[in-house]
Amino acid sequence: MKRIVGYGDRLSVAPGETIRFMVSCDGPSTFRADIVQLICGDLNPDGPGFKEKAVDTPVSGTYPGRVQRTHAGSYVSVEHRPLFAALQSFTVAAIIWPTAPDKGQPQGLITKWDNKRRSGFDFQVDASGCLALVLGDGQGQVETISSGRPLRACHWYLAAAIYDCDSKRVELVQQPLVEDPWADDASQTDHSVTLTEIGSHDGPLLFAAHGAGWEDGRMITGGHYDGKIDSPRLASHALSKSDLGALFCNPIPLHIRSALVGAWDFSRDIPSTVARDLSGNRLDGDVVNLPMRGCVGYKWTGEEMNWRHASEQYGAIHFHEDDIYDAGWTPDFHLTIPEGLRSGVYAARLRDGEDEDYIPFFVRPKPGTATAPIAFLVPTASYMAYANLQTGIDGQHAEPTAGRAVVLTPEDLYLHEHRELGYSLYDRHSDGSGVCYSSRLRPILHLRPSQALWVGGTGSALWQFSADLHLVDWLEARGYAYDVITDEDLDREGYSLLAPYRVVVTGTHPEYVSTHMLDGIIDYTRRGGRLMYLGGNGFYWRTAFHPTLPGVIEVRRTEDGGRNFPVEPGESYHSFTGEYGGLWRRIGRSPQSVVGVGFAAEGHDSGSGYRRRQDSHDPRVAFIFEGIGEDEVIGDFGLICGGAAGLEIDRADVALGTPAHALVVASSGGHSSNYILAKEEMLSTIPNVTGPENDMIRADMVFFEMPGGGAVFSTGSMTWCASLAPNNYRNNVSRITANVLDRFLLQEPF
Amino acid sequence: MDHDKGIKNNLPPGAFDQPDEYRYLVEEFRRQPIGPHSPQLEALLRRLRTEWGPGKLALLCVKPFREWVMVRLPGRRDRPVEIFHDQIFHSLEEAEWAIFTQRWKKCTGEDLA
Repeated sequence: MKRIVGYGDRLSVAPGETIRFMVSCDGPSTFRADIVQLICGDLNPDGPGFKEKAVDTPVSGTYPGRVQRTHAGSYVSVEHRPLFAALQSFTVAAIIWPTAPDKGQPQGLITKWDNKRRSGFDFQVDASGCLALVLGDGQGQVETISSGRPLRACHWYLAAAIYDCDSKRVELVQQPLVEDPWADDASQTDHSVTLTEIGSHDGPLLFAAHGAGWEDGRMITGGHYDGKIDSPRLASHALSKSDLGALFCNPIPLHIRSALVGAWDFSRDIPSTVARDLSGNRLDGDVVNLPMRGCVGYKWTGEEMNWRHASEQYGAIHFHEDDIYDAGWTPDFHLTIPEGLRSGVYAARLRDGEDEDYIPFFVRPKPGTATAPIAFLVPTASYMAYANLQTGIDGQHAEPTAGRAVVLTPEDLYLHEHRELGYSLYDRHSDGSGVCYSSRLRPILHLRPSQALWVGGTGSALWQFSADLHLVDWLEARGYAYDVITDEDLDREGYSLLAPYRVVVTGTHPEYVSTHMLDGIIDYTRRGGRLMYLGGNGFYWRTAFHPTLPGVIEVRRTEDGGRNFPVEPGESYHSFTGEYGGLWRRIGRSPQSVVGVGFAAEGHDSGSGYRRRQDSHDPRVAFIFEGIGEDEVIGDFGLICGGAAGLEIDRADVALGTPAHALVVASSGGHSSNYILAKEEMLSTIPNVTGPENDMIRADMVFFEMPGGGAVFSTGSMTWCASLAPNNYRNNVSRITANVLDRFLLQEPF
Repeated sequence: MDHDKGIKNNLPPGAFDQPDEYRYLVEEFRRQPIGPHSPQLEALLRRLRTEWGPGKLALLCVKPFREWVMVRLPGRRDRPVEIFHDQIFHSLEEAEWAIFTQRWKKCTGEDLA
């Protein structure tokens, strides 16, 4: 089983830049690290085999092994201020929407609590699911006051605790905003306490967690809360219950304001990691580990769907115990990319005697330069979207979808046992809500050269990065000079990144695309560039990169498309950018309009070949079919699904945006009943949704010219590249790919 | 934990009361455990494979393309995947058939040779 894992602080790195590697090694006292160039990761005995080339760098050597821990769970941290130390009596209040009150563990709401010394206060949802206030004097005495009435999941409550140090009384208010006469969840209680004083410490004030100690100079938190918090308040007096409502008025009445210590408004600066305090004390907090922002608060009326238009209705943050942004491990070694190192796919290879891990990274040319006429655009946004996918273990539909038993790997087991490494954008949080952010600053065990995945079909069963290495292997085998660039580079640099290249080639499943990326690609094809889309279900979901935080994306799966969970009402706009989320098809920029084809269906048990269509005899595409027979089936073989048309496949449709002059030169057919029509292709429930019943279930091969001399060639299938290698790269998939690439490399305009 | 309840509870009353009507599909599956399958067999497999709750059978790849063992999924995030180290398979077809026979037994009480 796995015991060595790691990650890098970047995916894309240029000569002269430095990448740091973080490793956790559970067991051996040392591990060895080397840098390798990755060419092919497929271990399939029917394929070309695993191929890597050692690169001589200062990294090569043995390093001390140690366990590095990841602390998941999001919260807001407000650093300690003298104002907090001066608190004697106090009132804490918020509007909350707990999502897992019954999870059986205390969940901090507003806390100034040192769990080690049992000091301070912890206003929480207790292990019984009731609102509670825990007070500790730091000398060993702790008192807990509970409402005694369990909160209901996914209901809004006014939650408040009032502590009067003079009368030694605590009042708890647990008031549902919408009362349910059949629910016994409202409570207003008054308790006396014997604690003579509340302990003071210089730890931060936290929302959605409490302090649990320090580790290697980092504060560790515990007691993470699942659910939303809206408008947390802290006052330095024991307010009367009748004044609690005034804490949430805007403006807060003067007689309350004089007692106000903090009044946080999460609707301010939603894209940021700052929680604004509007009390006047400037107690702004840091939002840690990316809880969900831009989500509806208790003021949401349903009349406005965009947080930018009515931000006051989006005053909540949805915290999760398993949110993670940066694992924060200590670097073990680093590599400054040598000036002469060619652009390509590389990895730090870690070995501890029994186990090994690879940490891939992509060496791109220096910004503003190109070192080859071909660019392989590595779909790193899609890699991040699928990062640490756990649906093979958690999902009930995995096996019928795969059309075979779920096949797990040691990496899947490791992830199951290390839930703190976070989820993919296909998973749900432990409270059942959907994951909308994914970071690369953590070990991503599915971004590995040989990684098979249950969803990867029959045969090699590779998915995303490991499948994309089939293309790298082919480029190497055929001797093409190529650069490697990534989605993250494209999002940041736009068209200027692509401009120097004669041809841009995609990966097998470039599904997640930001607006900047799409703008860059469209600009490129309109300004003479040649694009080869050698994948399936590409250009599908609008994706947002964070405006300032490196290495994290957001996806709001709005309206339609294959989804494992729905977007909640009112939460269809990305918090990072304010953009409306969902399928590009529903945002007026369909994949068909960009690459001629768009997602039509998916299946996993088999693949198919393509047959030439009438359009293939048009002189405009004669170059594509040089050396291909008129009745030759193209790609009825391959390492994944046994066919070049397989897994997720795309079709052309002028009504959906395929250019009218596009030539549909070949199509697959005969797909099995495991192939199901894409959800967005059905406006209502229809009976014919499987391969044998619906002719829309096919992959179309499409070519079209662009004004400016550019052109687009698309295969519309995820398994195309897995058919490049058979027969020592001499087959009709390889031939067609080379025919197109060779023509696209010519200066001569289309 | 009663793993046998999972799949049986998911089936409508009367399902598989007459297993003979599926016999030809069993034979199709025996001949080719990994698809593509006929639409009729695919439909049967979808019912068997949509097994809700804890206890679903799956595979763990121990040696890529050479060796797999059967596992039982926990249905919960805080419980480990149960690994049956003594149920070793050297082909995916063999493993698929083993899972199929266990499910068939749960649904019909019948041992498939």
